Amino acid sequence: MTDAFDADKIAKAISERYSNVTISEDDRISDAIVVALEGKDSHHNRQGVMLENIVMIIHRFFNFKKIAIAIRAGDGYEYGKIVGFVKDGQALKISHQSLERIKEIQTEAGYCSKANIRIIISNENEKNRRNDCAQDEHANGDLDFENMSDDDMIYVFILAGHKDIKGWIELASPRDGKLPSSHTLHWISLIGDMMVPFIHSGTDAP
Amino acid sequence: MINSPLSLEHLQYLREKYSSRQEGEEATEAFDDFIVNYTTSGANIDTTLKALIRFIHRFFGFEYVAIALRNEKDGLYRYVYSIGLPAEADSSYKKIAYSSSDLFDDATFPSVKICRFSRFYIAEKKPYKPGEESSYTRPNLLTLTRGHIDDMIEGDYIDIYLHKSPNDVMGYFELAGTRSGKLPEKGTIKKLELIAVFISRYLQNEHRGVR
Repeated sequence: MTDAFDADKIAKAISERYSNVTISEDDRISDAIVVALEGKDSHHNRQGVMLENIVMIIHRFFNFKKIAIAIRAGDGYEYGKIVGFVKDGQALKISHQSLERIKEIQTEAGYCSKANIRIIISNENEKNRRNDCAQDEHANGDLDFENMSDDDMIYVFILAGHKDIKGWIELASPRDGKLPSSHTLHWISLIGDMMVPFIHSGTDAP
Repeated sequence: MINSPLSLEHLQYLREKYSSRQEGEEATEAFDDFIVNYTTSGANIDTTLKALIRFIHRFFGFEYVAIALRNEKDGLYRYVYSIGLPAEADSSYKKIAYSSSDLFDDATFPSVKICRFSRFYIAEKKPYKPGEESSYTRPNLLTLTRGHIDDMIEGDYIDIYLHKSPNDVMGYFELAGTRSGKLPEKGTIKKLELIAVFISRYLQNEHRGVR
């Protein structure tokens, strides 16, 4: 029990308690998402800036080297922001993905950790994994499912309702070469869902 | 590129890996579910905002949660949805209307900025107009002395502003009383700001008829 607090002393203590001097990683992520989505009305390319900020958040906090965001444009999708796809980045940028292609990705063999996330493991990676296991005398027959090859992809769909795909976030090549943690996918799923009302495709621009 | 299906062993591994939860993830996961179940599934504003205050009340440990919105006709802010107040206090509460100048009148409603768009109103500074005492849950406790500096006491409240643009506030969340009796964690305020920035945009889209 402390002595009676005067109002100014309490105000100072509260101000210090909520300052950003000590802040957890999750709180930094929250802050960064708020800044990315909040935007500035005066900016002529608000959506472009938002996509850039989202890509930077994923790059900085979740350690993916390759990130692309595609947004619905007309009867297909166009990449609004691409980072790290060195070889095929240009090809992605000028490509116009059809709705059929996206539906194909949605149903491609893989693992769906949440309704808006699809992890696609390439056949090549699966084959290498089995070869590595056969050659590794310490593996005891256990396959290492943690590694993520350059051909493995994670898609985070930006869904307005279950069928309306506004776009998606494409992720590959984590810095540590491993599958992302549950915590990472949890945040990226939230980012994808939070982006829905901030995405416009031209006809519904603010 | 069409891949072969993953082996059962591989699927089982992924299932186990991605079903684990870290401490403190429940609230953000519930927020993600809220988005999917309400805002993107086409529920109307009324249903969505009622669900929102239930969600905040349940996951963030506040005894009282309300949303005030600006009426575009008269420009006044009124509490439209609330949870956690006794009927009598709730009725008094919903009769209150604030102008935009009231909102940031620091002489009448002294406060401390605690985050990007959150302010803490300290009970000892009496942040209410004369006559508004009846809108508190326990008005007889308004003169209670704070036992410890991290206690949350009757009369303390937090407002988190919903912005239409940087200088245009369209409403706010109001939060008071914590089930622990302590001030909320910093992370709680950060997450509530995340929710605020999303709901602000959702409300703007709904008002413009954009989905």
